[in-house]
Amino acid sequence: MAEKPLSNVSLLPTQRFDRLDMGVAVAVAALILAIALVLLSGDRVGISVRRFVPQGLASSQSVVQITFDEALDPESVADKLSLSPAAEGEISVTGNQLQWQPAQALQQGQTYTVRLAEGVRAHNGRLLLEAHEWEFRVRAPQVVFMAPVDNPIQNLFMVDPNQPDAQPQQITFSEFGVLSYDITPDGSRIVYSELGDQRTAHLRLYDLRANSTLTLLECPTAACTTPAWRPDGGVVAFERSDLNLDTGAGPGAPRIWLVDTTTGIPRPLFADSQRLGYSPRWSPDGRFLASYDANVGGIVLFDFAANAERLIRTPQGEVGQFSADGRWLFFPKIIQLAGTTRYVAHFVLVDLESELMVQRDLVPESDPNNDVELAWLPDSRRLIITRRPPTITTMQGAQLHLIDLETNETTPLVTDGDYSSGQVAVSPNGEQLAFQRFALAKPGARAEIWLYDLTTGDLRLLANNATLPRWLP
Amino acid sequence: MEFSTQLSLFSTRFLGIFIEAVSFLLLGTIVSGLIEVFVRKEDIARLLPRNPFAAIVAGSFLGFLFPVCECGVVPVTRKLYQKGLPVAVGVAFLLAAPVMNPIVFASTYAAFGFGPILIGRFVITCIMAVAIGLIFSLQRNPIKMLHPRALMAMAGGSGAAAPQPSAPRLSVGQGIVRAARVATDEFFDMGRYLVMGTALAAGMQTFLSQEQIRALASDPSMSAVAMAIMAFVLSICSTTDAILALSFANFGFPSGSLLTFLTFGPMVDIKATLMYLSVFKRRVVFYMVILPLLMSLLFGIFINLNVRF
Amino acid sequence: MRTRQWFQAALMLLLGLYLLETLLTGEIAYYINERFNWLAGVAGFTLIALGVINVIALLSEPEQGKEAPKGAPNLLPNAPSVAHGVSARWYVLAILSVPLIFGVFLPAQPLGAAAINNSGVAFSLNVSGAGDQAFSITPTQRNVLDWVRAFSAATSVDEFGGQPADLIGFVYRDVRFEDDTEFMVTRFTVSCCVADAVAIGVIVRSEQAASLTPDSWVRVQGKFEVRDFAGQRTPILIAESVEPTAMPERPYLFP
Repeated sequence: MAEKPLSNVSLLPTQRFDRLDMGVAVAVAALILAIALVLLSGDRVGISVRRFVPQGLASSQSVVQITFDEALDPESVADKLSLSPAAEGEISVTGNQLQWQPAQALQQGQTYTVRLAEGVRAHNGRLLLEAHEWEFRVRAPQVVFMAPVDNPIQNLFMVDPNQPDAQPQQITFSEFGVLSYDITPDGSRIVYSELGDQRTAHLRLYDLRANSTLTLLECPTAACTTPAWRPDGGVVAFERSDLNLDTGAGPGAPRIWLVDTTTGIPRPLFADSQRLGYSPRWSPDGRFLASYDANVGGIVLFDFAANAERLIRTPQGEVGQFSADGRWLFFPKIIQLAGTTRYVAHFVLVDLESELMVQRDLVPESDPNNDVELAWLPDSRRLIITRRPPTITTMQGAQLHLIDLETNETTPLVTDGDYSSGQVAVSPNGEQLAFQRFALAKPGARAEIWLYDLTTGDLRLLANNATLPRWLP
Repeated sequence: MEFSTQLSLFSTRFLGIFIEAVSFLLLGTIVSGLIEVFVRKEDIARLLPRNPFAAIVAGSFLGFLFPVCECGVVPVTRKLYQKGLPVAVGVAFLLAAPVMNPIVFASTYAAFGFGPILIGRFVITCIMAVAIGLIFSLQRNPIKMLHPRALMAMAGGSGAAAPQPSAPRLSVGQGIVRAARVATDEFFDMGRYLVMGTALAAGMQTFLSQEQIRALASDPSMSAVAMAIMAFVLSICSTTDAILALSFANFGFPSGSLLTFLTFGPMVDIKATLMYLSVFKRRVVFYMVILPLLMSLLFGIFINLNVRF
Repeated sequence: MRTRQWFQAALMLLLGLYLLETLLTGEIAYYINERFNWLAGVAGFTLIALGVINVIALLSEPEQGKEAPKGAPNLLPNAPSVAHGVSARWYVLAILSVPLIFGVFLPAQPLGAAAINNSGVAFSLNVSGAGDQAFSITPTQRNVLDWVRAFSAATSVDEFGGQPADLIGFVYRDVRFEDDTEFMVTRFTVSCCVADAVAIGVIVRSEQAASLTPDSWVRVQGKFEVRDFAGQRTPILIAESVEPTAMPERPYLFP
């Protein structure tokens, strides 16, 4: 053992540390230095983007959402997100997600580049080190409709109205059929009522961003129909009729219910189960829900902010639409034309901003036209009115007119006596109408969906054997 | 929580870790016993390259020959020392073997698939073991590094200078009995550390909250430190820690920190440290803790801050 | 000192018997992943074998002094070792009796809801490669682990809406749950032993939720719906029936 003497030497105080001690000391110092250098040179990876939408084709109302792997510091995102071409919008941050809501509809057919600049900071201080950039193209609004009309089982379809040779695309594949539906204002989701067995009806959601269908609400003992989105997409109002399967009393009268789309938890609008209601309609700001209550004989306007309700008396049992600015709501009234035996329907506008909810007739009482339907244009000033002219022939088709509230001018749009028109749906930009037409003169004719362009006056068939058109922004 | 509930939880965890680990410990002690009886000093010397650097590299791959996890590696190493293995090579083996073996490869592959974690774990472990082995080769004198008890056997009980007689081969029967008795001693010697380490790990899991540590997950440097502490305290067997690391991945720990866990844990934890104390002097054990700690932190933090997966 | 040696041998025999006993009664399923059962069996037999060899050696060896480094003459003809042949100290024996005491005197119990409190429950796992397997199983045959795997492997959880499920697990609840309507049907997964036990679960909505005691075992049948839970889109099992059931023989699931 050659090293034995050495080890004796190492016991001397001067030699307390041997080569190993020194080596370890150097190594430890070097490692600590290296760690310090790595820490000083800082973060070169930062936070990363996990998910971003929209991609590919998107609605003109699309909300841009970017999800990160860390929770974001809301202050760090200001001025970091930009669209080119430029678009106005509002940025908000919740947890890991950054959201940008456009102020106006995005330009159709336009390809937008979203750019999130580097420097977005997470709560733990890590930064987004590289700008994140991607593109999406804004698709034209689509027209959704129910078809086929000649079959008791109908499903939802959609078609691009601006491509003349576009084929409708089927969205739902229900076994028992779709009864009614509604589309979110941002064009992301469709809620529809689907028939189940024993006349039950359930609410389903079709998400266009993921092309997937899921159940919003299963109604095993009731028919849940006529869903209506609160404009922010957070709540769906619907009619619920209990089928009274256990008592055998037969289907009951509908009540208005609400279902939260994030939790899926339903609740009746009124705690009193004897409050009836149908035709739920949301105000554009989501504050009011209008529905018709046959017990009290009027439209009940429920104010969610004040938890109060107001009543608009009308025996007609119909709830019209809110104007886009939320000021007006309309409903029909039936009057006897002075000096005749004829009864006609006219529309009444209610000014919701006025204290006493002042009512205003759309046309003078003496107007001999029979007004069947009404639909707002997005400017809240003009309406599309579907009216039957006062000729006394039995089969008189309803025709489309434009009526201007300020000038009281009425312009005929689509007037062809051989057809009856209705179910007008105004496109999000207010330039096109999708509506149902029915050929009166043709035996065996089926309802069709037509497209009318308000600027050019062009009229074109969109779909045969179809009904209930709505615009998908 | 009531005490009886906690006691029952503790008991379940304690017995779970113990039953799982005791098998590996027995495997290790039996291998150790067999090495004692059937492997000669000359065999190891023959097996390892002459060049010290090559020997250290070979030492870190020795685990593929002696597939043991960290519960079993210490008795094997001690036995190898008694058979004349250079201390530095033994250190490289001791640190690398719990990872560098087929069982751990399989479990890491099962957990993370073939990817950066699997490759990173083996490459980093290898680099660390070789580097630490090289540092330890600065001191060649075993007396200054090994615990007297480990040395005593090495010296044949009669001083370092006494020439060890070349033992005549035992018959197989005698050999097995002898190996069994060696294994018994090893089992009790190492078993107490296993029991204490297991009790500590089970106690931590039962009585402490992991929540604060989880909050650290998002910090690139502190999460690596947290993973190192976690690895040290949990003392999970290296054959199974990859699966545990998977659950940390779920809590949001970044890959670099997971690699800290997967490289530091098998080298150093409470149980292993206590076992090291039976073989090495305290000073050496301290080095064997501090060097892997700093190295695995360096790798982990560097990867967290500089590598995008 | 011979007492200690006898005690040592007895301890090994007893530990070996204990391991085999847990294996035979199936209680081993409370402690380790079943794919390691054979290891426990081997360990049990090894311990018994070691114990027996020690007993034989004790019987055939004459009483010896403690300082007998040159060792047992007949069995250990050329023992170079000091350490061997000398029994362990009492405190070492005491420490190694602890597992035996715990195992024999405390009733064996699997981890339950109480064990989750300091580690949380995962709704999703990063189980690489395993997710695809889950899809090849019929929905009603899937267990909690299969579902959780399928959830994490799916590109969109929305596809689970409407799928039927039939699950067994124990009841777990924490602050995130609405006490009256929600609970989680939970299992532990154990890859190696209970040290790495990870609680996983499926959220259940049921009218009966309020009447279920935490930790009790239930069988839940129903259909999934995709809802938001704690800010994440999560498949939630809408229960059609929840019935109490006995704890399965193997309380843990093995990934």
